[in-house]
Amino acid sequence: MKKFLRLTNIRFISQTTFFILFILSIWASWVTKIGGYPVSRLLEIDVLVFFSTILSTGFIYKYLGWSLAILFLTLLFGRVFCNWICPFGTIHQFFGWLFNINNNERRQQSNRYHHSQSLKYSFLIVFLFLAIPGALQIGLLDPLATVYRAFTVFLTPAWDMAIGNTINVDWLLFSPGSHSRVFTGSFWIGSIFIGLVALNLWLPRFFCRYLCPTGALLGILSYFSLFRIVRDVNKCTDCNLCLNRCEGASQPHNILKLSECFTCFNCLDDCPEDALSYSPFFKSHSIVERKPDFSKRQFIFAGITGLISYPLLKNNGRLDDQSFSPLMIRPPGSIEESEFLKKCIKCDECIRICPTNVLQPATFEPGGFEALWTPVLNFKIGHCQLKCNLCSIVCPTGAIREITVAEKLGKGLFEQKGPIRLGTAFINKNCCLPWANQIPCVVCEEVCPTAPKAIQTFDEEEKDVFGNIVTLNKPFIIPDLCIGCGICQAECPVTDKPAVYVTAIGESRSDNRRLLLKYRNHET
Amino acid sequence: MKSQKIFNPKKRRPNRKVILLSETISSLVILGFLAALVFWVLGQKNHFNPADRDLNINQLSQISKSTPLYHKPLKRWTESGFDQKKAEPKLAVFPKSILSNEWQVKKRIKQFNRDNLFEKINGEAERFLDYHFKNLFYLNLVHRNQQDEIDIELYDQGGIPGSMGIFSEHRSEGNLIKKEKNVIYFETAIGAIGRVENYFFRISGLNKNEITRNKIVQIANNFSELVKVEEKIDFGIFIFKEKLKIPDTDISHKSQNVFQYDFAQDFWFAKPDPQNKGRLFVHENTTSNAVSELFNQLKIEIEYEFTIIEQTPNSLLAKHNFLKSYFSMIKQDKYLIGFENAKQFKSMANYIKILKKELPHGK
Amino acid sequence: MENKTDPDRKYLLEKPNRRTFIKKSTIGFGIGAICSYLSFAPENWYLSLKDPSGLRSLPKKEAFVLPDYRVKKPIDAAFVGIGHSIDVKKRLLKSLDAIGGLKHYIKPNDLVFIKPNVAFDRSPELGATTNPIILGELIKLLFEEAKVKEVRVGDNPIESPADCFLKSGIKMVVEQNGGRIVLPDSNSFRILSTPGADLIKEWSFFARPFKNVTKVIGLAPVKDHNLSQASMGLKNWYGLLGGPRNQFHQDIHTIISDLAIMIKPTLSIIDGSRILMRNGPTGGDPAYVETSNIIISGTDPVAMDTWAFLNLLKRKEQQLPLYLTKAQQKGAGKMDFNGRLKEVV
Repeated sequence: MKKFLRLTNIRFISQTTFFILFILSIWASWVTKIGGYPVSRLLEIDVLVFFSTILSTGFIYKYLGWSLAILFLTLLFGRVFCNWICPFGTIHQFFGWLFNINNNERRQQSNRYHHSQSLKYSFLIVFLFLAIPGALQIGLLDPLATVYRAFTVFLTPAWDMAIGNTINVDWLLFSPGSHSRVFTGSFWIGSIFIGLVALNLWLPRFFCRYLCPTGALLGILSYFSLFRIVRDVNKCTDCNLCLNRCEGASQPHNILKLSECFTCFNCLDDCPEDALSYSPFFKSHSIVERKPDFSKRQFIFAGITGLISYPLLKNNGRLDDQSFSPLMIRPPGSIEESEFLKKCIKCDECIRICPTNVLQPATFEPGGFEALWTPVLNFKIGHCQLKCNLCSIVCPTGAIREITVAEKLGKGLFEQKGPIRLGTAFINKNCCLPWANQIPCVVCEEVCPTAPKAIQTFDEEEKDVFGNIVTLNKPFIIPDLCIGCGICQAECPVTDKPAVYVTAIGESRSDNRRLLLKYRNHET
Repeated sequence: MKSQKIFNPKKRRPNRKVILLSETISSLVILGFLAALVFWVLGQKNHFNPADRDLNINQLSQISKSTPLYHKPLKRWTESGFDQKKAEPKLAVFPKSILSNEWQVKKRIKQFNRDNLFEKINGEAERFLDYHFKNLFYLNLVHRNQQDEIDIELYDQGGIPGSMGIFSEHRSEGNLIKKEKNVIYFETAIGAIGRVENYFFRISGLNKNEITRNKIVQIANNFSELVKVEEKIDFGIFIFKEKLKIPDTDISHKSQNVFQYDFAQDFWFAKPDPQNKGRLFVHENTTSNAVSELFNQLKIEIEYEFTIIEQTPNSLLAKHNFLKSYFSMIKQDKYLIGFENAKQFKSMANYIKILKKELPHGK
Repeated sequence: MENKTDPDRKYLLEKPNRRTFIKKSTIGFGIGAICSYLSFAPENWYLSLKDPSGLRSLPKKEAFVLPDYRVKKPIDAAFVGIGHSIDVKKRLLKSLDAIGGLKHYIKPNDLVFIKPNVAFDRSPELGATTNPIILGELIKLLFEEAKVKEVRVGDNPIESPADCFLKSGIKMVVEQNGGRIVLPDSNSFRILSTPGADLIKEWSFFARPFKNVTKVIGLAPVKDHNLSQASMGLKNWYGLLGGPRNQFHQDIHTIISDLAIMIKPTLSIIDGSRILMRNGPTGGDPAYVETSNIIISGTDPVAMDTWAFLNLLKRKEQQLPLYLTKAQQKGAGKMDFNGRLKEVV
């Protein structure tokens, strides 16, 4: 029993528990299952998200303050997050362990410290320096954002595809009650994910040691940690067995690098002499290296890179209010674009929870590199369900501000303000069946959800080419009433090039992207 | 070659021997914390406000003052090159006088023939088809106020017998018959029903108001301008109208199922006395044999409900078992004449005598 | 330098032997013969894989046919029964008794599929979806009075199915009363063939909930519809179709008349508790809804639709939609309800 209650076993149980909670947050991200489950909590306790959003916006949103718990844990115990909590770390450790067929000598070789492990500190500094003027790009490398994005866009649809084609059990699917979900960019997001996981077969915990900016931040904070791995020099025989399974490559066999140690405690188990222990600093006499291996020179270079990347990202003409793309349609509740990009960590929570699959990770087209993988609506795939506000509930950083359905539709207290408009619909008379071909249609008018409808028809009799006289209902848009939900575009029978389409102009979240000067249906 | 292992072969066996008590206690504490965390997460299932994720019906009721929208009226099709206002709507057989400043054509005239009549009047179509129906012209008029509408159905029954027959089917005792030149009609709750020459018409209004009613009466009167179709005068009309001077309104014709028998067809009826229900009838056939056969068949059938009082090879007199009314018929050459539903024997006999005198002699 | 344990070397050193020669050559010829048979044998021979035109390898669209779920009504019962009552259960029972009683149509241990209208995620008070109270009472009646084995409820809305079932209140009421919701997904559809249809002779159909079903009931609300004039019992079956349904609006009346013969349900029920008088079929304003205490059930869906159009939507006979005539032509029922209808107040 005592042997079971070793720290390594408890760490294993903790990793498994958090991974199961992670899978639970993915499974519960469905309209009828979500209830009050905290599906974004793992992202909200990410310390990097906390720090960088403070730098970019100056405020702490909703639950982000809970990351202070992780912060205190790190200040006391070191990089516990990396090996006890982080699900991405669990995945790396699992695949690295599963396919590792090296002998002891090769293992110890692969777990030695390399100076290139300081690359992650450079990434961290670049991101922090980018965040200060207001370009948040941590989502590209943040471990939780990456793992959530990969699961949303690549792994859960793959699971649904497999289960859907074989045993077809509703509650096992991640997206029951809809057709197979598609996501733009899933090829690249999935490939990057597979690549990162596959790298563990070359160097274990490659991402965690070399790339992870959260790990870098926690590594810096471990400077203050009270507890650390202590090697009793008198008992140590320099057998190097402690390097067999060292996850962080923190050199426990020599002078411990505190900023690299993941507190996995594998070294404690592997030492045959019981020379290693985990003790507070006042109880040990051994020397440890507290400062991360990151020189001033590297810091300066990283800082300059960060600062100079800001104009690199911002001046490509995709994001300002004059030349924005018509495809840049953001979810309801989103804040204005320049503020949005200060908050979005590209975690794709909103994309996963959207019941109609209309939210997609942006390609380079809508917003260039800066808006890559942020959520945009693609009305060819779905539409924004009228009484749904789920994307605003799960956003961890408030890029999509939490709204109630009343606010979305402009009812109750929000009557004066009006509904949230995502864009405006337009009709292309060259493709529209009644306008161009004298064939009756008006699906768009039928499905328009507003009351009164934002698409109305007027009746006209025409003689078609076959000599029949038909009474046509010809549709036209009322932009004062249109909320840009996109169901007209999604249902138009000219499926590939819809005759009625929604563009971003007229969205209510932005003062400078409005279309109408006044709304003719309001008295004021 | 070396055999390649796929998975990690090493077992997780710890090398250490000493495990401190502090480690065990902290492990237990951590385990307890993890369990608490899991229970907390699972317990969050209902920790949300459903009102935020849905719209209260009370909030919707506040907008019941819906935005009224203007709807453009239907734009009619006209041949291009013509001015919309000056273009005259095609009225087919309808007289031009039914249009006015107030009333214009709303929908184009729809025409139905024997094949597609049921599309317009479904179940009733059979009746019309029985009465030699040829064409239906359907027109819809709308008032300038966009609210009042009038539907006109004009049936071409192929000849006067047809239109008379179908009119008699529509007509019941209580209707007040009005006559305007050659138009005969009566008003109904929603409009008017009538006939003129070979046409039978039904007019109905969408709303019951003064404007609609006046217009309907005017339309009925205007139908007297309908083109007169030259038609040979039918035997029944000849006999009853020309010879016996019985007015039009009391003459009717039945082409099928006379007296509810499927072998009896093509009978003309006339009511000599408007106060009485009794009717004279006359049937002309091609040969006297056919008439004889018809006479015999009728005799057999009426024996079920009538008691035969008198009969000769050429005539029959019977009295209804319950109603106590008289039925008599006489066959002569290729004619079959008679009287049905007579209350008094003497007047019946009188009428039959007059009718028999008027029958053309010879073949 | 060759390795002495090299398997190739082993092969080279091996002396050719008659037995091994025969064994290897028979294996070789056997494989060659099998491959030649598979590639060159004529198509209709057993196990032939020959595909000269390329058409054999294409997936075959196999269409299935729905069984006829109708039950003949008792001789003295009406085709259409109308029930008035403030109490929902009494209303249902009155109208069902007028057509012969629920027990005549639904027998114990039946598997019943109810098709409500769950087309939008509107609240039930907006009249755009089936009233959940009525659905709940019907399921209760089925379990208590007719003692059925299972009740399934399903629909394929245009919008997100999970959202629609949740926000319209249908999910809660079905699960509370012991029914089972079947949501559509990409594997639930099969091609249905409807002989006698004009435009949808073969179309993708939501087939999964119909597995082992013995009785089918349609439960539709009464709604105004801009294109087809009304959306009632017959149009309700539109929700079971998949594929590109947005093409149907090009000839909506013929499509609805095709729907009338596509499925032959045991019972049709038209719910008049909330009538959407204008701005249908999406509604959106409680001002468009009128309430009543009427429910119509029957075995002649065309007559039921006609009666509901005239008396619940309160339209004129001249405005009767064309699809009723077309449905009558196809033999789905008769528009004339005189003498075939019983109203129980």
